[in-house]
Amino acid sequence: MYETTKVLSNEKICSGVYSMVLQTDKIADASAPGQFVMLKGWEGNEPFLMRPFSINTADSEKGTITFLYKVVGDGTKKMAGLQHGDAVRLLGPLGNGFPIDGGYKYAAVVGRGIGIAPMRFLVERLTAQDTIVYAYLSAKNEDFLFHKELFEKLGAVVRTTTDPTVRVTSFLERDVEIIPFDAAYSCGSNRLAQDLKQLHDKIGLTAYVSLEEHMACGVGACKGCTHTAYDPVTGESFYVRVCKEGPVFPVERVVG
Amino acid sequence: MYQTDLTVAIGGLTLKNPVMPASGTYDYFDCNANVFPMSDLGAIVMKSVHRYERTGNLSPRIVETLGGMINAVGIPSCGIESFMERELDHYCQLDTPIILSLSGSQAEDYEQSVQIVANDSRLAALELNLSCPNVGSGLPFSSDIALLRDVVTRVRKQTKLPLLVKLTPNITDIRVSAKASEDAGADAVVVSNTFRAMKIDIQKKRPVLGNISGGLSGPAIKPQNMFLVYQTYESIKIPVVACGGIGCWQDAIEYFMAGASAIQVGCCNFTNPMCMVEVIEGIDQYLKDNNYTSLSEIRGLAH
Repeated sequence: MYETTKVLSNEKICSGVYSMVLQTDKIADASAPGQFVMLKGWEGNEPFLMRPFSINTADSEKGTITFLYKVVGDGTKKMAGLQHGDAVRLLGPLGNGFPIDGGYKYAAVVGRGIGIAPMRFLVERLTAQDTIVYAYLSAKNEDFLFHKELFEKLGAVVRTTTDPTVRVTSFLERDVEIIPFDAAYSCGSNRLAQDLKQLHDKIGLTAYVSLEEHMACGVGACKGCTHTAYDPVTGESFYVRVCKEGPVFPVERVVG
Repeated sequence: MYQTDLTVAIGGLTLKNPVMPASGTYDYFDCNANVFPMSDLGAIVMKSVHRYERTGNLSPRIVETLGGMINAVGIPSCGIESFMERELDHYCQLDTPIILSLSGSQAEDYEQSVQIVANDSRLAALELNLSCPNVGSGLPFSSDIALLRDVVTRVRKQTKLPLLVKLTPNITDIRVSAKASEDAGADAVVVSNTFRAMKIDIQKKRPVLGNISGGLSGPAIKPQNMFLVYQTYESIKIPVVACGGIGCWQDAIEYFMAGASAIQVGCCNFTNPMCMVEVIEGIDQYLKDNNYTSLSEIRGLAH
């Protein structure tokens, strides 16, 4: 779906981080946790390409879609300047989201800083189906522990750290010994993905990671956003497109 | 359907309108934005199919630049045999001509690919991609005139399908390669492919692309490519298909006035998934607004 949407709000959450809510016709309704959109909220060729954004949350009743983003380059700088009523073009929802089984009893969600953004939609869906969620959040300071209160309100057990010497996954390592997690999820951080891969190897934890990559088309046509993947049986490596085969993968497929 | 006559003849092939995707920017059915019917297009050009299976280049493969992007995708491909057996049929229900783009690492690759393709009736034409900057040494075939002539001559003997030769812009005089293509039996030339380029990450102090260099495309190259089309039009009698930086109908009109018969939209398909249909509608409206009845009336007007 390709839509011209309208900005409902675009608020600064903390230093360099904004939350933007858009009014859509159909995209919000079709969206699932872990999926992304290609977004362009400016006219002309600067910057040239649309930008991939993970969906922070979507409300199908209101038709709204929300993005939590950090200003890092020209595209996000332009986005930060958007105001109520401005037009934003969206292509999406795209890619394969986080697999969720209706029968999951326990799930672990791991995120660091802005990588927590897509976890909100996931936690909302998991808690809505009565999966007990443990959220492991880390950040450089309290401001960047996004959605901590919301996750608690939704009934999740939230464990956090802002200490650079403490790995948030060390809490998960401890918890897996007593909680039979059906699945664990992370996004964006190579370090977190590596840690989930270790737990997968050690105890067979089912873990999914969402990868980030620069994209041109977002739909599989340009083959620009490749990542190395592994055949779990033969160990052979090959390329996958993050936009098309991902962005969410079983951890053992994309972490060597 | 249209207000004016947008038909274009290339070789024995007639297109209902002059707009097609540039190879590599619009692909198999499930890998498109799918925001309009593919049958709206004058033709479909799919990602170049290499003679053999290839994985493509190391990541990163793309980087954004001022007014465009550099790609070093390197033609990942399933190989021509597999493509003809497994992929091509997917395109056959489409009510628009299919142009197969072919890639190779040496002259024999093209010759063998076209032997395999032969005169397959599912195809409307062949495009020889002799200009990819990201395969092999990075020296495109069409920058070596003797090699260009050899490849086109060999291929011409293998098929009756219309033959489009996609030329490199990375050459001193495009007229020489255009004329060599025409003399060797090409039915049209595509002008052109990406311009060799690179970007360096000043923090990492390294080239950004895994392949070090890549090819620049997008609005940034349009003025340079416009002149190549203008020059080519004066040097040959066969049609010129313009490809380089087209992002709106005004760009297409400019190329027609430079002498193009048809146009290909490349990376602007990424920045605006509706680009190609907007270009078709815009050309039609421009012609009507300026009291032309057919596209052919404005071809080469700038000369």
